[in-house]
Amino acid sequence: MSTRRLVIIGNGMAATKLLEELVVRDARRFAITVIGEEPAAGYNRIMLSPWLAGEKSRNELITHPRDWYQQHGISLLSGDPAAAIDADQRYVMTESGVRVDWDQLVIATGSRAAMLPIPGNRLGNVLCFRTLEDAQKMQQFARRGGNAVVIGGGLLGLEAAYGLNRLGMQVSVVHNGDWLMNRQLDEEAGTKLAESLRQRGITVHVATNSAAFVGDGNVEGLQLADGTVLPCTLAVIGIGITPEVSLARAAGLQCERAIITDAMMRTSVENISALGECCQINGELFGMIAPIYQQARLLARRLCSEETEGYQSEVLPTRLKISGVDVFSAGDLTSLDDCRTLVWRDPKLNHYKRLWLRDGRLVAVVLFGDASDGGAYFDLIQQGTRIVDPAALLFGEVAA
Amino acid sequence: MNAIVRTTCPYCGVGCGVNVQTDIDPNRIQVSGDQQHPANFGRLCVKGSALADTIGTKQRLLFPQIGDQRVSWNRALDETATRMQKVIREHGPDAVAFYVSGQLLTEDYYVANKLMKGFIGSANIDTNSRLCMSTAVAAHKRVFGSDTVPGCYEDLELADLLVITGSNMAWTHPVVYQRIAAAKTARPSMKIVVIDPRRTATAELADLHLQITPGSDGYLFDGLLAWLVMNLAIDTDFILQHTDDFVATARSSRERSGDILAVAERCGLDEQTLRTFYHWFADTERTVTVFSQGINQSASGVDKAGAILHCHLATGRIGKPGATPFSITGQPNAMGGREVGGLANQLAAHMDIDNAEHRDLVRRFWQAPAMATRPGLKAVNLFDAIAEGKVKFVWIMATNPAVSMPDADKVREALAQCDTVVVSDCVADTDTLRLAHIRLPAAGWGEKDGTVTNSERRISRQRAFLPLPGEALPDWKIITDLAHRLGYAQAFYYTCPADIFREHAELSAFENNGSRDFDLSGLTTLSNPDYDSLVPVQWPVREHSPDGTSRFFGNGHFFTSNRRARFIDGAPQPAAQQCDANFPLMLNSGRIRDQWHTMTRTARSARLLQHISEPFIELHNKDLSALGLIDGDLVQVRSQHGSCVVRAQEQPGQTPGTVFMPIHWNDVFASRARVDSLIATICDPVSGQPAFKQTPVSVEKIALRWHATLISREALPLPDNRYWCRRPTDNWEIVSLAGDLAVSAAMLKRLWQDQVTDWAELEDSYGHTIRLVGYRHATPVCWFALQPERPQIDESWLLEALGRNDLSALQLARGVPSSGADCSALVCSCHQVREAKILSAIADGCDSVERIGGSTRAGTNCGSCIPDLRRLLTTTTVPEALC
Repeated sequence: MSTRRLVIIGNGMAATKLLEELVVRDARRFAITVIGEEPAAGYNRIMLSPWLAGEKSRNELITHPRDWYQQHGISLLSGDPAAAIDADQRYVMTESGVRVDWDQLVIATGSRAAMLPIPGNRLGNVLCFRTLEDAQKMQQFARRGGNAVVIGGGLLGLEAAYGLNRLGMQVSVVHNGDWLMNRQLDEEAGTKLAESLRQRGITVHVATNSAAFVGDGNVEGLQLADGTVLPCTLAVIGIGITPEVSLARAAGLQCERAIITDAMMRTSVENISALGECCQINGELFGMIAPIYQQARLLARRLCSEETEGYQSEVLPTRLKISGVDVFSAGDLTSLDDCRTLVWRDPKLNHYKRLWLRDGRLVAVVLFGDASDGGAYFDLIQQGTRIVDPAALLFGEVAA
Repeated sequence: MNAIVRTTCPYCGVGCGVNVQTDIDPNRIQVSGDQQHPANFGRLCVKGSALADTIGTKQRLLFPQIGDQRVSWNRALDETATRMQKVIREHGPDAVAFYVSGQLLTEDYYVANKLMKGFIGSANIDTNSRLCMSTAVAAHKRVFGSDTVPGCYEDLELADLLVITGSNMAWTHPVVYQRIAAAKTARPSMKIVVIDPRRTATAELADLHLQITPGSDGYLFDGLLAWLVMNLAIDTDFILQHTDDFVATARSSRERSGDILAVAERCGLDEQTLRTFYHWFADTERTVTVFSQGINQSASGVDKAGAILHCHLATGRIGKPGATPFSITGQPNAMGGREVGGLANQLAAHMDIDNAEHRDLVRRFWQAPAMATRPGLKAVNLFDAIAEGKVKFVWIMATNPAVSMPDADKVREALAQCDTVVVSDCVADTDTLRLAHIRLPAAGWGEKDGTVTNSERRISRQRAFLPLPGEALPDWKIITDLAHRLGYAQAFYYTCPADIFREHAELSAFENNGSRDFDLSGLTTLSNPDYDSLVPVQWPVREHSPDGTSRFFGNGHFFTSNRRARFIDGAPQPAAQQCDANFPLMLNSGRIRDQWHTMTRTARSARLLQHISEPFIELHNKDLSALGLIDGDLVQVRSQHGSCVVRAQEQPGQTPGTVFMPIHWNDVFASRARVDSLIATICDPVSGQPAFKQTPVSVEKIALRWHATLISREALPLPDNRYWCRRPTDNWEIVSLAGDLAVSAAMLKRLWQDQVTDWAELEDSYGHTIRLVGYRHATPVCWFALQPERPQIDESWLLEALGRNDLSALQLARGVPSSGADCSALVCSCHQVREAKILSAIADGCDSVERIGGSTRAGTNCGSCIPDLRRLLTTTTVPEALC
């Protein structure tokens, strides 16, 4: 029997993790082809923000250089995105017209930066912050200084804003939520975050809707809903991500917000799997690295016919990667009204902590200023440990 | 400038010599035991060792005040004299009174007594010794014809059988106890019997502990006399030659006692234990019986003390080396007070007010214009008379009756409605000072100069080594200045304490000729330098015995009219009050190891407050669980007279049905913990001493929502609470709090906003937990923790960390260091060794007090905690080593 052909569409962190998992098992079992849209080899998208901020070098970003693929006998088609999937005939057609046949197909197309649907969003110098290319553009632009507007006060937006600020731009953040990172932080922490960004010279507008980008060819300003115009020479949209499912949808795979897969990462079509930001399991979407790695691991096992458990949903912590502003959040902050909360405020050090407990168990935590205990709190949330002394917990007696 | 000043400890009646290493910087003054002082030979207990902590001007009364106004001495004394004269003019001399103290020096005491009894013309001067020693005084006088302590401390060491009754001397007279312990170590055949309803630290040394039914000690000694007679264990020669009324007393004693089984039942003892004690007593010629408050503070205390004296008379064991009864006094100068006649029913120099010859003698000596002719009001009656408006002017000196009198709430009310209350004291705030119209700043220990007499009749000098702070004056000076204003300048012209002492000595010698026990004829001509260098000496000091006299009555000569001791028949009584369904527990009260009286001075020492820092009630485990309590719960203790809120504490040394509370806490230090507010004004009919030791009470858990600890630089207003207890340290004020009304962080921050500029805080949406660290311009000045259970903090760590201010607010708010917190009980105050450390030393193989000391230093300074170490040794099981 000839070697089975495995094709992976996408060369992001989900795909490279899957490759690693396959390689440690038996890389020769499959003839693997990776079709990547971006020209670079595998890089760590999570490190784009510190790279933008000048805190990491480009070399540190690259996780899987081209030789790595060669070394393991993996064919990499990068810079030539997949254009179509033929599920019946089992091949993928790339934009340049290359046909790649498969016995097993994995879709790891990830997501795209969400576009802001307002007038002017196609003007020059209106960027998203998603890819290495985006980051490179921003970095080049920022060298010229001037005003930048970042739309979105979530993780992505704030990291972009911080990066541009570090690179010397006058940055304004425009956020439609009532406070920054409103999905991950409570109001007090969000407000403190805004304060500390303001202290770094970043202007923060919360509860503010953007109406239009204005400019002639290139963006010259962002008009807010109240009519104010924030002048800028660069606008970065960091409002979130949209799963990239166009190929799958076109191929007739069942999709909702993303490609529907079961807990074994199987799509609605036999021999086609999906993982990462482009998949949806039991209604859940993914944007963090840990569950995607879990998916990669279990998919590799399944493909190698090992026994494996299905995907287990996990609550995930969020850390804001802005140096000097330690922010940590874990747990679902949307439904905590029935919880007991414990708050610690230290105005001298500008530290803030909030814990949410339900039925004597920790369900959510927000840390501002000192996030060193974040991991330990997260474990307690995960394990559902019964909390005997909530105050002691707040004071960091987490191990006990 | 540093030199050694030799002085005397101001606390208990042991009267230890203290060497003070002086220094210009009062923080560097050091105290140590005086090796040459015959009371202590260099030893000091934990309170004495901490004396240096208690000096200084903080929290002192420094200026005279009328109302809340600072006034000059002239103004204050003029006002005092005017008010006093007006009352005397309108209502007679018996409408004024002095209530004085065993804390006064003999010279202070002498002039106060002289002024009242010889010049104002009333005998309304009584003293807090009424609460402590008046029973022993009365018993001595009835049986011996004089208030004479026949023996000395050495007898306690020489005895082959030492009976300790009604005294937890390991805690109350630690140095005497240590002398006994050393004697027993040197001579293990020495037997020690402890008679106490509680198994106290003192009982740790006992060969036999008689855990009697509270108040049954009279039956025990009356039964002993009967048993000695029946078993022919008496000294018939001594009885015949030197005593009266033996036969009648012995007969009625035998008749009412019945057999030993009956006595054992009345005392709650098993027959064998009692028989052992009686046999030991009968068989041991060198027997000493030491008695203290357990005997004295009883409604039939004079008979009880009498029963003890009877047993010694009947065996001829009195005033002989190692064979004597021995009353040990509570206060540093209770004996001095007795010598000057500071009790309302005494006159002066051990003379009687009822005795016309004595009155005449003293009148002539004093050239007194207005001799009192009948006894004045004893303490309880005095405060009753104040309540009734009969006494309209009272001057209280160096004592705190609003705390220490029985039915203390009533005493407080009486003072609150009295026309004029003058209080002279050395501290700024006491429950009694709060009720004063005129406050007079008195010199404290280290500032005043004079003499005190200890329990073995030894007169020692207290010497000044500090300047008078503010405008404070010695008590004798305040009293004589008043006497001058009352028109008695001639009779009260003294330039120094030595002038007064000489007069006091002369009075004792005046027409004495051996007729009176108290005789300082050998000291009447002391020059001022002689007085200054006076070495400790036991009275009587006569010309033929200039070095003093160790013992009395060895020759069988007593001070009755016929020189024979008297047996005074008195049927023993049970405790004056018995428990019932409403008040089912019998409350005993007493001292703890590290506090003195109402804490006015010992609470100035942070380390002394660490041993036991909050008021408590001790219960046996059975009672604790029957009441649904656990150790540390706050409880309401009620009697017919009042109520207290204190912490319940498990104490295996209690018998079920009996409880114990300390006497120290008061309104300055706790919300409601004055044990004497629970106690009835039932007194011994002869001595007038109240029965503090047996009070039926109920104990009930109080429902609380929160417990809290507040630590602040200065005293802060407290939120609404059910309980608080404060504890000053050198730099901090520590308050334990508990309550049942909701408290919010916002409320507290408002309450304390004047002292604090920034708050680090923990907020709990359930309101269960609050933690606050308050900063004033970046320096921590306030720390607060509130939660459903008592906050567990490592106090010494926290105080140090707050002071250093090098930790984050979060680290401070935890209240314990990240690792190695030790919140266990402090055992050794001197070296700050906690129980956990001692237990681990025991676990590591330290199997003796000495070894624990070697390993942890616990017990190696003053030794007051050695009984605790012994208890830990016996209660800790060490895993047996593999052989």
